[in-house]
Amino acid sequence: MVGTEGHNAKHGASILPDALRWVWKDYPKPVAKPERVSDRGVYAILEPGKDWELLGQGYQLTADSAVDKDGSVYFTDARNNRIHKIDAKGKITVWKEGSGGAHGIMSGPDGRLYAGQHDRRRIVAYTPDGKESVVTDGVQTHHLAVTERNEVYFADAPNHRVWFVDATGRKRVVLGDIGWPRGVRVSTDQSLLVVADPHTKWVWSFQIQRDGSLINAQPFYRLETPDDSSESEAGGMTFDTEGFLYVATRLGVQVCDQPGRVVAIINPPRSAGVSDVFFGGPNMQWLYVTDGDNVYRRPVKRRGAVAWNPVKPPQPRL
Amino acid sequence: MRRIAFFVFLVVVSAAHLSGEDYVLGPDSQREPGVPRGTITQQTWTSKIYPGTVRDYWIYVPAQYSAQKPACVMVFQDGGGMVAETGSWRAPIVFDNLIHKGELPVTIGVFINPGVLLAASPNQQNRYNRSYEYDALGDRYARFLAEEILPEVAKHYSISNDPNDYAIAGASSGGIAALNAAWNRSDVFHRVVSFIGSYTNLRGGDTLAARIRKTEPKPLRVFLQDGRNDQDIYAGNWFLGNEEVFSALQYVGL
Repeated sequence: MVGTEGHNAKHGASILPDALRWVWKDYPKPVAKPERVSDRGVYAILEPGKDWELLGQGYQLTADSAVDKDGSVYFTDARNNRIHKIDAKGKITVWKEGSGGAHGIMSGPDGRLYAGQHDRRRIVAYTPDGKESVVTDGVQTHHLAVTERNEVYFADAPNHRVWFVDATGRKRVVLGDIGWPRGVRVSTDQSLLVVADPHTKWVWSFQIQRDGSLINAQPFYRLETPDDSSESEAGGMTFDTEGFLYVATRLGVQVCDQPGRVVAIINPPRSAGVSDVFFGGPNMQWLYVTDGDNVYRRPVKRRGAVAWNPVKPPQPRL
Repeated sequence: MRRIAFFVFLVVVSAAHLSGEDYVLGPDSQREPGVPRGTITQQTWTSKIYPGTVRDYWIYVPAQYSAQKPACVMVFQDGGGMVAETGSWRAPIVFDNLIHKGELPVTIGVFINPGVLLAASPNQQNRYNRSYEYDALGDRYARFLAEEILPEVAKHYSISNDPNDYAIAGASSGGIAALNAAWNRSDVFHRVVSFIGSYTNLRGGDTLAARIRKTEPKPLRVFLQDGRNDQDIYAGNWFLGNEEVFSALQYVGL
């Protein structure tokens, strides 16, 4: 309602009865979510009319998640020392007991599930039948990424470093001066590594060299932060086939376009935010989130990118 | 919605142009004989979320209230001014009249002032919390209401648990506080009234419009009012700020 007054109560007070009538009109009919007005904004990503579906609850630190070539989803239940599996129908079963406190997990193009075992200070890989072999040891990580060539980048937050493990198991530090590296992901076409620094608003982007080195660093993605903090609290991340980056944060899932802008924020199931986000399902068209205790999913219009099928995303509109 | 708003805009502007706008309180803001009066009790609150602060608040309970039927709730920022019978707003008179006519559900009004950290001695100044509580984005003020004030009200009165039954209102910084609280916690409030809201950079409020555009829409009904001659100061232009928020709400279908 537009009036002509200055910064005073005259107009407002005169229409207070109308404002109250309008805001309570048709009570007790519920105030509903608005109709989708177009396919722009958040509805370029979301299926309208769908919300988060709770799949499982009561876990102890859902630290990270992965999807295999069939679209089956795995997530760690770190303090319960387990890895769970979600089938296409959303049914959850225990896939691995005694997971060594596995936090970060990701499926490799070689068909193995790579896992950072927090309690045993090493990275292992499981074959589909659950057989475990050591990839590298003497390291402790919460998030890792497996490349097209079955190499591993992993975050070593307390030491402010990111490591690289080549396909023969040799490891070295490729980034030594980042604040608190948490989520690490390789881009849709496998050319860039992105690293979240959750105590800031930034996700860093690096160009990957053939030997795994990282060059041309920029704090590329600018996340939105809550007002009472300058920290995004970014956790897990994932790319879609359009090259958009999905970041789990306290505000919800923040979706960044290729040029690094937040273009959509998907509300978290609970006001505390989300800790991980990933695509899964047979067509990689379900978006999953975890929030430490619970696992949810909803259908989306986009498809998740996978390391075993790199695609060049379209040129972005700038 | 856009067409209706534009129509209202035209009517108001042309009326102002012809005669000079003179806003006066209508009959719903005057005492009417035979209309039952609600009761108003004054309370004080010492907050934990805003540590050390004290504030007054007033609870308006309509004459039609019954403990058998949980009441709706409407929170007003800067409650002391809003609740005064002889002030600018006269909200309790409006409540009495509209509830009596059945145009407002049976609604308990919570009229709350911003906090003050009282100085320890007479030669020291208080720390005034109004801008900190009202102008800030984020969920702190909503948490203060949801975790401190509303549970206290619920100890004494039968109030609903359904966010559809909760509204929040305010003017100026109290206006942005209303929209921001409901937008951050739409699980608590579904209805918002904002007068001359401060959607400017007093404390980052200028970014709320873009945050609304980017975020998955929420179930809210928002009444937004501002005047074309609202202030234009270091923090921004209030009318343009309100237009930004109005446009953002339309963009997401609200």
